[in-house]
Amino acid sequence: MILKKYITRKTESLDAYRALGGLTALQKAAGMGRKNIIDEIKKSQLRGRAGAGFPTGFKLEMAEQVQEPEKFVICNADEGEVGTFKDRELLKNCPYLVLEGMMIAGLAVGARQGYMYLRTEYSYLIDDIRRAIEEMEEEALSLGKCDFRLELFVGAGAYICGEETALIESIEQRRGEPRLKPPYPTNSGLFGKPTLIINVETLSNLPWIIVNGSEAFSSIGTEMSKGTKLFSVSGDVRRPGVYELPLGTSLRVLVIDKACANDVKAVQIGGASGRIVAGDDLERLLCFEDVLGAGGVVVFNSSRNMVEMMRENMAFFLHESCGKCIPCREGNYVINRLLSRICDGDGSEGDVTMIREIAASMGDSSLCGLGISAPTGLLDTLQLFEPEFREAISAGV
Amino acid sequence: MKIQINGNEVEAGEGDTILEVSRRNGIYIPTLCNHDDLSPVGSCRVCVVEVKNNGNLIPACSSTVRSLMNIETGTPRVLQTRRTNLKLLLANHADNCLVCDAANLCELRKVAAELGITNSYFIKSRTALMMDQCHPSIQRDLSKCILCRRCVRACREIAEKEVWAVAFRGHDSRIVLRDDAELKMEDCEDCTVCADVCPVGALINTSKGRAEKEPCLYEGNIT
Ligand code: SF4
Ligand code: SF4
Repeated sequence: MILKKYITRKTESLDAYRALGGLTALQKAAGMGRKNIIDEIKKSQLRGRAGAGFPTGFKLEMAEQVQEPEKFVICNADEGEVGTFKDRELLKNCPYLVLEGMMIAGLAVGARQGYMYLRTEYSYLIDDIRRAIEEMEEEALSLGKCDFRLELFVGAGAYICGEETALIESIEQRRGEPRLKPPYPTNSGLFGKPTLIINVETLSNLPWIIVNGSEAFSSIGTEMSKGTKLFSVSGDVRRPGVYELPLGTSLRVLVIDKACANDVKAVQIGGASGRIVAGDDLERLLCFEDVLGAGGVVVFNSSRNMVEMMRENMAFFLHESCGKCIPCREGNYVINRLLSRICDGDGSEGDVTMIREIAASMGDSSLCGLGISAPTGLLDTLQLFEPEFREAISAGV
Repeated sequence: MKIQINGNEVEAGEGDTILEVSRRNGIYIPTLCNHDDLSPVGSCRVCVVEVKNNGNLIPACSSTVRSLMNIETGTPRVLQTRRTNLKLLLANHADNCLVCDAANLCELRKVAAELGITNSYFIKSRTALMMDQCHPSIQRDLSKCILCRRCVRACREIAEKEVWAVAFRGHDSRIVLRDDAELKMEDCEDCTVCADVCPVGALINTSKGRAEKEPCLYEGNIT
């Protein structure tokens, strides 16, 4: 396991971090040169851990190749996805690891300034993180080759600011809304400079890869999904919490063996925007080839009405849509009204047709990932639990 | 560079948008938030087109062409998505065209007619919002605003001021003055550039009579 030792107990100080093997990666990376670091990450086949799964090595390469003296590394610690709290465990127990990852990324692309964008709900971690930043900055300076400045930026509570360009807008003190892409942040991001935005967990993998080598990393996992992944399990389970598993592990191992669920009607994988898998389909594999998302796993037992669950789910998106584009702003509103009507027993078959029509348009033409993925769970539920919708239409829930 | 639009090979320049190339070649793509004098925001998703092997639909107004791009502007998927998005917008729009000052000049009605939409069967979501007639030459009716942000952009990019802004989130979004008050002469004198670019009747330049405004031509395909 790669990250487990950092989340099981708190690393109180930089010395304690060093005792766990911390900083060896940074030292090694400082002597490797940009190209070698990037090659190593590319060979490891590490992919982003925030859901989209973009190959991290390529992202680094893209930012590295832009000729520009000023570049930025941003650690996306705006863990807003519903039921997802694995980044929190890393930030709470070992911010040093995340910061070391940021510094390695900075060395790789030639950036000397980093920002950590922390969601406001994690404000209680500010002091610890600030202290870790100070210690790490000093330590990096004494290594000689790594003059890297870090700044902590605390968000204001909007889910959309986890989207990388909205996050940039937010740091630039504007309304948190996604930008049009292209240009991609690796070309023109924060203050128009090349910017690398990487998730907490992804960054936390970098030190391990540098120390142990890409081969050791890529020997774990499946063909398209290398390494391990943190999963935060909640809902109707007896042992909720964060678990680290090799990618490609079956859902059964996570939900039944680890989290001890004994009655599984459905599982939502990847938070509110994630896929819904039926309880009799637990052999599905947790990896990019099958189902994954950012790592939030919520279990529903047989006492849960899936139509009602989806109404809650979509209410979240109605609340969090930024309002910039039509399909998401208006679509979420109408879908919410329709679902309420169905739950109240006033729905009709036509409502389901309308939901499908709107969901298709949101998924195909929204401006950002929020609107595109918002109807994912709803569409799965419509397919897997159709009888429940019919029941709700005739009798409500 | 060469690209394909609807199966025909056409010539395109570096940095051209799909919309520009299509127009040059006589291919019509409806637009709403886009305005020739303003930077694109890509928010209305009415100009979406399909690019072969590219996953989701993309907006023609703000996507630049790439060599050998294969674009389809009129597939059922494209037309259906445009219609759904427009119907969603109409569901959140005041239904008082007959007494609206924009009336036949309204670009929303024009695009709706082109896409063959007479009415939205989605649940009506528009609640009456502020009607603001404090300013001598700009009348605001927020119930008609489609949040295209042309006014915000025109004010910033043409008048070089920051009178308008988007406030609140999601479905509650609204175009406001800095303090969400009525528009007065102190806020803005008289350039009326925002009202001139507003595609609907949300901002009306009351100093212009209807005869002075260009007539709206329903030139698209009415299907
Ligand atoms: S998809 Fe939703 S969150 Fe994203 S830009 Fe559009 S309205 Fe905003
Ligand atoms: S007031 Fe007019 S121009 Fe401004 S956003 Fe609304 S519809 Fe667009």
